[in-house]
Amino acid sequence: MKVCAEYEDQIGAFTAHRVLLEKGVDPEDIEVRSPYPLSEHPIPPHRSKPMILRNVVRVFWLLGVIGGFSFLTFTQWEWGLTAKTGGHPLVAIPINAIIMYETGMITALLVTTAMFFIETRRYRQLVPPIEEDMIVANGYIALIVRGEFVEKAKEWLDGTNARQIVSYVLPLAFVSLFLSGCGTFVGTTRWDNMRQTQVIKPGEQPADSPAPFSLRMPTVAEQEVKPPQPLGWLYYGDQLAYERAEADIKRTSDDLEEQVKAGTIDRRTVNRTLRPMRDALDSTKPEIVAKKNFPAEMRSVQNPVAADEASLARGEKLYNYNCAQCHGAQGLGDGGVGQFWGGPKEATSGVVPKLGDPNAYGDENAYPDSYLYHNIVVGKNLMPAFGYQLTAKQTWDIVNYVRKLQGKV
Amino acid sequence: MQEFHGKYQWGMTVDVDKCTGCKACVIACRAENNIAVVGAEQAAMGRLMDWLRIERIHHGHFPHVQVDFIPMLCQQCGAAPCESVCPVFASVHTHDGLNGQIYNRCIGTRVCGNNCPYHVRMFNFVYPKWPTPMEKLLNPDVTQRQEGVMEKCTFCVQRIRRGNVDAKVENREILDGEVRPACVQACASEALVFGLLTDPESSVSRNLNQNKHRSVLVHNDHDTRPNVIYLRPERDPSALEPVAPLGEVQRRDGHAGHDHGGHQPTPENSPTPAVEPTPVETSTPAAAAPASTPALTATPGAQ
Amino acid sequence: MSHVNKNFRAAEVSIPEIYDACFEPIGKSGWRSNIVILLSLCAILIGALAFAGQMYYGLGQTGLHIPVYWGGYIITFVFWIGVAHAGALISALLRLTGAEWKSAVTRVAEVITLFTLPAAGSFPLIHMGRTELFYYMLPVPNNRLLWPNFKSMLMWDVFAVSTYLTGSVLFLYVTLVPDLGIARPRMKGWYKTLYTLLSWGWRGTAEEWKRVMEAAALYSVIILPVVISVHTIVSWDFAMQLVPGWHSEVFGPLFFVGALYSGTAAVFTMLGLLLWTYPSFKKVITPVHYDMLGRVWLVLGLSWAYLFFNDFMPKYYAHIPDKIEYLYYNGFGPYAAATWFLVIGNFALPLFCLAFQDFRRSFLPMFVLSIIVNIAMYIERVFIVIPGLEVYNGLNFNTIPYTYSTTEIAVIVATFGWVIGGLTLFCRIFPILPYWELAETKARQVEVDMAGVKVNYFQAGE
Repeated sequence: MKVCAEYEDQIGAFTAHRVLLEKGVDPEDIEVRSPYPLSEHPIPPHRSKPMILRNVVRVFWLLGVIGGFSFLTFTQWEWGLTAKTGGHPLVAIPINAIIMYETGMITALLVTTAMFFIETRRYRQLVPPIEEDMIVANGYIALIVRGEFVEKAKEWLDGTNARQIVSYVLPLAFVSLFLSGCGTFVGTTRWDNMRQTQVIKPGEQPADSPAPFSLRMPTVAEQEVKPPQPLGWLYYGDQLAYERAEADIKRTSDDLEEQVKAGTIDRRTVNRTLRPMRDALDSTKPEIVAKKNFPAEMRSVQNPVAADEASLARGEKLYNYNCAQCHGAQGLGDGGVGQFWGGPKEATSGVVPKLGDPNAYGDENAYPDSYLYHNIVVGKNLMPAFGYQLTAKQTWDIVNYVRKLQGKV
Repeated sequence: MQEFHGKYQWGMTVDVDKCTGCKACVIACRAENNIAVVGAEQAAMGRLMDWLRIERIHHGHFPHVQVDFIPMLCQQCGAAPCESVCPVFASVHTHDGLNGQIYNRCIGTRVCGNNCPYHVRMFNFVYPKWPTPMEKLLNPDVTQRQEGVMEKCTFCVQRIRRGNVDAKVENREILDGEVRPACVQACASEALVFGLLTDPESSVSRNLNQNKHRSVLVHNDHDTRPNVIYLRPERDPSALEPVAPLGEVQRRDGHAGHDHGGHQPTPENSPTPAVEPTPVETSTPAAAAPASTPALTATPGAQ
Repeated sequence: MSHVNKNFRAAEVSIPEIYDACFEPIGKSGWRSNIVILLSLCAILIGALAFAGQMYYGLGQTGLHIPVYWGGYIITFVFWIGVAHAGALISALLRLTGAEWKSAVTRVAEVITLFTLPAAGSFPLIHMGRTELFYYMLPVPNNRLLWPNFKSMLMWDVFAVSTYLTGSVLFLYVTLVPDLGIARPRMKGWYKTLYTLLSWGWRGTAEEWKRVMEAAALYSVIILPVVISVHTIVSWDFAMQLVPGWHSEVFGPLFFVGALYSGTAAVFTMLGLLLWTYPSFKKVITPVHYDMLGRVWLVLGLSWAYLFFNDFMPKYYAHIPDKIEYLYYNGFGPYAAATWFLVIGNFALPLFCLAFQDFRRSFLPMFVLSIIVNIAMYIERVFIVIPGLEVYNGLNFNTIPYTYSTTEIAVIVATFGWVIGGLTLFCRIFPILPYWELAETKARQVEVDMAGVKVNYFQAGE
């Protein structure tokens, strides 16, 4: 039995991987398959063996060179007419060098290929894997779990932002493979119909995916839970105004470029005109506007979203997706990225705040919900601003979940 | 300087003075070696197969023309440029100093023909045909080559081998004059003298020694060390025109190689051939003298 | 165009779009590619017939004569080997230098090599007088105790070209395996069988990726010296001979750089044809790619002009008689028109046009220029081979100019048909754009710099 979860990007896959590892799944039972090479950090390769390819190729290159020399020299000595035939050149060293060079190279090439096929052969069979339908299609990354935690893995993976999760039962899968195999040979082979595509076109949504975070952020008017008043769009900046200003700059820049091309103005004038416009634009960017310090007006803002089951469930999914890589799945500051940065924030060391620790951030007077809200939206120190990715409701859901991790709910 | 690989070295002297350009040698070679007649069309394309051809070098302008006839055959070079480039060892050096072409081994890459500075190597572009009853003329001692192989003058090696066999049977050395290639045999004016260069008493060695002052090796600037030595004609120094400046090339029709704006060379300014034979000291094996540096302006009577 | 848009931005194409673009042409048969394949097959058939005639009647069917023993076949041989260098340059060199934009064009270049190299390798066999005895050149023990002559540069050719052919085929195949694995579930019918067999059970795990990246890096490192040696050895087919006009010291680097130059021109020709046939490729092959590759092309053209000048100028300046004759024969003799077309088509026009960024970024002008450069490079090969043999140097007994015969033209056109038809067929069966490299480049380009930690992240709002 296997469970297969498909992710749109690396973060989703890595987060899910971390979640599973924390739940106690053996790393040998999780396999990540991708349509392109992933960064090695933060997951070390599964069952990694040292790469011997380079040394093997070097050795064989040398053998090829020596072989070329022997081949040339001894065979010509045995059979050749090397010295007996006159004519230039009589020296054989450059000729030996050329042939040895080529034989060394061809040996190295053949050995590289052979090593590649032998090494990759070690990890799977020649028959296509059973999870054929879900593997590395359309640019999505697959996480496959097998072993003892397979049933539980399905629910754990539910909380991550997977596109789809499918579980395979072996005999059925085998039958389906057999049937699909028959189908491919019996079925139509029209030239135009060679591919079955499940490409999700940009802008479309797959039917059962969670709320997308990669689309354009809804405006204030579109959100069901409004961002806190009276600051309102201060946090997000006035998005419309920002976009209008951006369009203005672009238009001005285009006009100026035309003039530069026509030769009426020079580049310095262009920069001098555009710079103040760009600076003004930057100043309306939210994290610059409301950066770092927790404003006094926010103290009085209450959490409008009740911490019920639905909210906590959403919050858990969102937390695992967005926060867990630094702050850890339980909020103890031990996420993979967080450990990279220096680990959980202790008295004298560490960087990542331990959100789930009730002693650290549990005091609702010192750190009210709105404090957490503020930091999520605008960021703090190393933490980036998530205000562009999360609606107000989603942010409050995360806050609720953090309270749950602290044990306050 | 000849380089003698072994005990024997066959060589030839060609006396340009004596050559009348009658081409009896060409015909004899053709008859002896089963050289194909390619026909007018193929000859017009430039595919003449004659192993021996007569080059003509003109001096002066009409009506004061002097022509040198230079039989050009395979020079059987001591350091043959054709031998090192054949990928299958079809062009090899024999123990008696000949450059051998092995027809069976030749696969027809023609790189030897490119590399020969004398252009004496001929390629069989078409299948040689002898319409009946011409095949009765074929010499049974000589291989009939198929299309796709290179061929060239062999110093009538079949006659040399016949001579070798006869000498061995009779337990003696080859006598001077016993072996003569077809061209040597046919030459009416005895311009071609053939024999063993390693034997100081052979006719070719004696001829060479007597005419050392006018012996030249063609194109030895490529250091091919040919075994065919040309003897320059002796001319009355007063009758000879002064040498032209470097760079003028003598064409077959007597015009200069490139046009200097329509300037016609005057009789005082007659061009010399581009293949300026380089005068070299020839030596016998007993006294191996170093080669003198080749001078590009040859004046007769020097040395 | 504002200066912001001129930079390559990952946001402009998404991974599903890349997937679409890469795998769209597979299995589709358009009327254009059908006609091309049909014409190619006809060309190959006609060429095969012509070659059969040549085998039967002898090399007299060609235009060769004494002393021009090497003609159209060798010219086309050198031309194809030159074009084949595109693969090594773009995939190996750009991989090693870490150019991000190489992803779109690597496989195009490698596939060009895949087809042009066998075309080139067939010519040493075609131009032999007795082709059926080609195995004499192979160092195989035989009962005659004969061995080939390794002093001959034609033997080095055999080793060099076969090494390069093996290397580039393997390089192409190993970097194709991931794409075959990715596309495997989407294929039907015999495509699926083919992809399953060739993809070697590819699954896309991290270890497999590590190994294919390592193999690709190793291949690049090995192939680059091989490719330098291949065309140098081909140039030595000429430079090691006595023929005036061939015996030039600068032939090694001249041929090598010229090969890279003409190879890049071939890549541009192919890119132009691809963009015309598959408009969805425009998302992946952008004007920025043309700009970058055009700069490479410009640099190669300049290097080649430098080497060519070094080949020509010393001869002219020193005024050595037979070399001067050779130069005048080229510049003002029967080859005058070809020589000047060469100068304009290879130097004046490209080096001038490619200096402008706007020219480099436009598809059609670059395509036209690449065709001109291809033709001019072919003429350059003619210019190298024929006049050196034809020019009168006092002892060649005729000065009959060499012309291509019908047989030669038929056989040469057949090789063109093989290359073009093969490329078209390849594009229909295998992905001509390397999906996994493009996806990797795209994924890396949306890295978010979380205060120094690079984490791949799809940015919102794009």
